[in-house]
Formats: sequence, C-alpha cells, structure tokens
Amino acid sequence: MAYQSLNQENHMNGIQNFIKNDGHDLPDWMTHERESAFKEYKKVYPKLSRTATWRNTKLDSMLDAFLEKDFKNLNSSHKDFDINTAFEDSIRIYFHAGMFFCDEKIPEYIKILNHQYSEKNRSIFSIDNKSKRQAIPLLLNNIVSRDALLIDTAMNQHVQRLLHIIHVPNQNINVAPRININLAENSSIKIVEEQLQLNDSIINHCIDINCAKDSSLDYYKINHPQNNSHLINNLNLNQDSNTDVKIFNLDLGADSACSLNHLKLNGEDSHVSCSTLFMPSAKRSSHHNVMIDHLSDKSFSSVNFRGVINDHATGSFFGKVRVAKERRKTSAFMQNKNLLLSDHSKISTVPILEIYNDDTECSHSATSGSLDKEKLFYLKTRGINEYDAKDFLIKSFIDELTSQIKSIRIKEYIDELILSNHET
Amino acid sequence: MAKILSIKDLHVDVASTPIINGLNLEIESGETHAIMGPNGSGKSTLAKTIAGHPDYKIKSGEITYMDHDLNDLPIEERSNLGVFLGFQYPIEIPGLSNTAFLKAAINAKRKYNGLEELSASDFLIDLKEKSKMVEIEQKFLSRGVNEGFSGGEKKRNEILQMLMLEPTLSILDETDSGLDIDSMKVVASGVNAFRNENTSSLIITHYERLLNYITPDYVHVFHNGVIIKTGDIQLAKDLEKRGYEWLTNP
Ligand SMILES: Nc1ncnc2c1ncn2[C@@H]1O[C@H](COP(=O)(O)OP(=O)(O)OP(=O)(O)O)[C@@H](O)[C@H]1O
Ligand SMILES: [Mg+2]
Repeated sequence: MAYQSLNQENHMNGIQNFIKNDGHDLPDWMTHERESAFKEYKKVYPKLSRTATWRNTKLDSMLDAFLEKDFKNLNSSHKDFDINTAFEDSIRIYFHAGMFFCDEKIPEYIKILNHQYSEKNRSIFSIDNKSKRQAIPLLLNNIVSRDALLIDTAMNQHVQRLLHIIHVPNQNINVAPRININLAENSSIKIVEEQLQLNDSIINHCIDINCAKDSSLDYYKINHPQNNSHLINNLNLNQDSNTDVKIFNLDLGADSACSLNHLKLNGEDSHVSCSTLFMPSAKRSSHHNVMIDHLSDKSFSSVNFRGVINDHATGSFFGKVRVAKERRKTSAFMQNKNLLLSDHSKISTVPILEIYNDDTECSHSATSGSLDKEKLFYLKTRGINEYDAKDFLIKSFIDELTSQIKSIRIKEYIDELILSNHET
Repeated sequence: MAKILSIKDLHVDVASTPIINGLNLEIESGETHAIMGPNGSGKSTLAKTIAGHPDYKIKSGEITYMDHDLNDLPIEERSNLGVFLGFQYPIEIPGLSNTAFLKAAINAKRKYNGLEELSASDFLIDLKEKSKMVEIEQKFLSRGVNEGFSGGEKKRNEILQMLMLEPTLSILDETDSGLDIDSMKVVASGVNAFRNENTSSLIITHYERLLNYITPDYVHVFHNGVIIKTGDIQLAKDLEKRGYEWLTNP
C-alpha cells in the first residue's frame, strides 16, 4: 500500500489494527500499555505534530512510511548475521528484528527482557517527566516496542569491558528498540551503540539513562548512513549529584534521521557533555534537537554539535539550555558549527540560552558556511592541491570535535568510519 | 645570473578597483629586493597576485617566473616550482597539526618534482633542526597550524615553512611587523640562512630596522600600485627619517 500523504484517520486506523493484530502473544499488561499509549497519542498528535520540532525534523515523512512497513518478521536468530564488529574484547548485544541477543553468558548487570517480560518492569513505559517534544515518538515506541534491554550496574561496580550494542543491518522493518540504563551509586560503564545500515526501514529508538550519585557514563552512538530509511533517536538523561556523563554521536544521515535529546542535571556537581558530528550526504538529512535543564546548583553542561553537509543533504540543530532563576554557579556552553560542502546543501541552526540569573557562566555560538577561501589559499600556497586542501580543511573541522574522544580505539574506529564515508 | 622574476606593465584589479597600475620589476638570482611604501599602496596585493590569489585579477601585463608565465599556473604549482609567500597575516587552521601540514607540503613539492616521499625520520630530523633555527619549540608543532600562536610566533612559523620548503623566490610580506627585537633577529637569521646565489627574496617592510640585518641589494618605494623610486639601503634610511611625503607629494 503506497501512502500518499499523511491522512490522520488512516494513520490512526492503521495503528489500531497493528495493536489488534500484533497483540495476541503479549501479556495483558503490555497490551494495556499499548492501548493507553495509543489513547494518549491520539490526544496529543493533532497539536504536537504542528510544532516546530516536528516540522524541522521531517518526522512527517517517517509517519508517512510508518504503516507501509512490516512490523514483525521476528523469526530470526542472531546466528544468521555475519557482522564484522570492532572492539574484540567487548560484550556484544545484538538487536535484530525487534529482539535483543547476546552471544555469550550475559553478565548479571544486563537483562534482556523479551516481549513476555513481567509487569514489574512496567515502569520502562513511563513517559512521566518527559518533554512534550518527544511525546510522539515515545508514545509510538510504547505502541510498537517488544523487547527491552536493561542495564543496571550495582553499587560501586566499575564495568571494565566495553559494552557494544549492535543494531544489525535489516530490510523493510519497523521496530522500536528500548533501552534503560540505570547506574547505581559510584558505578561506571562505557557503551558504544551502533546502528548498522538499514534498507527501507524505520527505527524509533528510545534510551533512558539514570545516573545515581557519583556514577559516570561514556555513551557513544554511531549511526551508519541509512538507505531509504528513517531513524529516530530519543534520549532522556537524568543525573544526580557528582556524576559525569559524556555523550558522543556520529550520525551519517538517513531519509530522515532525527535525534531528540533531553538532558537533566538534577544534582550538584553534575557534568554532562553532549557532542554530535552529523554528516549527511546524497539526499539524506540529519536533524538534532537538544534540551538541557540545569535543575541544580553547580551543574555543568557542554553541548558541541558539528555538521558537515554534502550534496543535496539537509541538517538542522536546535539547542536550548535552561537555567532556573534560583540556580547558582552553573555553567553552560553550547556551540554549533556547520560546514556546507555543496551549493545545494542546507542547514538551519537555533541555539537558545534561557538563563534567569546572573550567577551562570555561559556562552553559545553558531556558525554555518562553506570552506574558508583564505584557508584554502594558504594551503595551496604551500603546494597542496585543491582536492587535498579541501580534504585537510574538512578533516580539521571534524578533528576539532573528535579529538575530544578520550578512548583511542573508539576514536580510531570513528575516524575510520568517517573516512570511508567521506571517500564514497 | 639568471632571471628569476620579471614583471612587465602589470595591472591588477581587486573587487573591480585598480590597485596595481603598470608595475615593472626584475629580480635576478641571488638578489634581495625590499619594497617599502605607505599603507594601502598595494604591496600585499602584489605579493598575493604573484602567489595566485583568485580575488586578485590580472587585467594586463606579465609575470614571468623562471620561464613560466605565472598567470597560467594554479596556486599550488607556483609553490611547487619554488615561489614562497610569507603572509602578512598568517592563517590559523585548528585541527590540522603543523607537522602534518608541513609534511604534506614538502611531499607535494617532492612529488611534483618526481621525487619520492621524504621518510618520516628524515622529515623529523629536518624539522627539528629548522625549528630550532627559528626558535619554535617542538610542542608547538603538534598544535593546529598557527592555532593560538602569538603574532611573533606566527611570523617565525612562516619562516620555518620557508626553510622547510626551500623555495627559489621568497616573498615575505611584513614578516617583521609586530616582532620584538629578539624575534626579529631570529627571523633575519632565518632569511640570511636561506640566501645564496641561487635564491632571491622580495621583502615587504615598513621598517629600515629589518634591513640592517638583511641588507637588500635594492630598495623600492611603492605608491599607488607602482614603484616610484628605487635605491639602496640609504633610501630606506632616508624614508625612516623623512617619511614618504617628499616622494609621493614632491
Ligand atoms: N580582497 C580585497 N577586497 C577589497 N579591497 C582590497 C582587497 N585586498 C586589498 N584591497 C584594497 O587594495 C588596496 C591595497 O591593499 P594592500 O593590502 O595591497 O596594501 P598594502 O600596501 O599591503 O598596505 P599595508 O601596508 O597596510 O599592508 C587597499 O586599498 C585595500 O583596501
Ligand atoms: Mg600589506
């Protein structure tokens, strides 16, 4: 069935049918969750779908395709795929066709909840305290998702092995992976999540991260370039006091790739840095929305997004930092820089600081433009040809961001991906 | 002596405004020429035109560099053939290390001239020796090109690039401006180290000071895009005392 343009009634009927047909092997509580999410979805959709977040991120085209896709096709095992994975000694969790797998004995802090999981994990579906701008994809995720991945570190546990979550390449699927990470007091973990190439698919990905005091997290999300596919990444983060979270995203674009991030600093001395490199080419797009709430004194945020937009691709950045009136000694830094590599590439950028007191150290900036002519001239006067000079400038622009990555092997891996993407 | 650079009746427009208006200049191998002149007289325009900046349009006239019509050559080829421009305002390129940049530059030139790439160790030996000459510390070399360098450090970095690239014709646009006396001596000794019977330089400066360390064979006074007087070091000394007024408004 080809979808012309989004017809609300058809859209809602389609979801209704999906719930009815897909629900037979699910526990009752989950079917109820789906139904109540759908009820809420019908309520908020008409209003929220008209907001700027929605329009700027091309979510519409995702919904257009939403019902065309096959939701199921769940009869595959992880042995079917042959993936050339990086990070040899990592613990690997695969996500394929709606299900998570692990190819070794799962450590006790990781739980794979298959769709039959018990009601005691129902809170995974909670959308309380989440931003309205995420409501549509979050509710849709509640309607569609089956398996969930739970990562609960123990108190004082410092996980040494890298956790590598791999979303296996796929064809014509519509899935909603859901991941919950809860770091207990004084624990730490490093996670790389990687979305490999999809064809004709929709992934509506939700991750919730809660960091109890004194914990720290390094989280990397790598999205390979997607073919005729839509990718949504919803990230919600809550940080208690004295926590340190570093987020790095590499997004190589999809038909519509969109990331919605909501980061909340709830405790004193909480530090978050959120960096993203987005590099859509061809006719792909890559849209980014980040909201930071400084809900505590002495909280620190650093947002650093860079776009390299090629061919007919489009990108966007919307960032907002809010510091409430009574919050003291906070510091907020936000930067978005974009490089347009072709006359047809497009970018829009909106950085906003909403700061209601003068005890906040903050800065924000946004720049967009093509390669600097004077820099090119300088390199050429040193004998470097046009192609190499451009290459140097693009790489130096990228390297200013990726040089923040502390882990050498992760940086090398990301550099390699960027290079091979750049060369094709 | 061989002719290195020959400029004949050169007219150059910038943003549709004529800046160079019928300039003639000949430089032979082994010679050092100095150009002095008031602000805005077109000195940097001449330097950038020789280097090939796309905004500087040659309307008429010729620039010949060792039998090559420069107007026909892309920027990088001019460099590969031995033309070097030391910038008045060196450009910062964060994210590209000085070392990687210099290595690429040297190997581009070698490739152009049919030579093999310099081995990493030979390159580093050469770099170490030359950066010592211009008193640039090793740690600066791993930083981005000119990134966060002080004014004087940027100028010394230009001289380092010149020494590494071993050009035939070196054009230094106000490399002495903004330098303290010690840095100026460093720059001057770098330039003197580069001087021999096969190389030539064109030194643009506002101060006679530098010329006490690098004695030029000729001093030219630039005004409204042409040379209005040529002399020797004595001319520079006169300008230092009397300014330009007596020449530009006699
Ligand atoms: N890219 C440009 N666009 C417009 N005008 C320019 C440009 N470059 C130079 N000009 C103009 O050309 C004239 C000559 O400039 P140039 O930089 O060559 O002077 P100069 O002799 O080097 O001066 P200074 O001693 O101040 O360095 C000036 O009037 C300048 O404003
Ligand atoms: Mg000048």
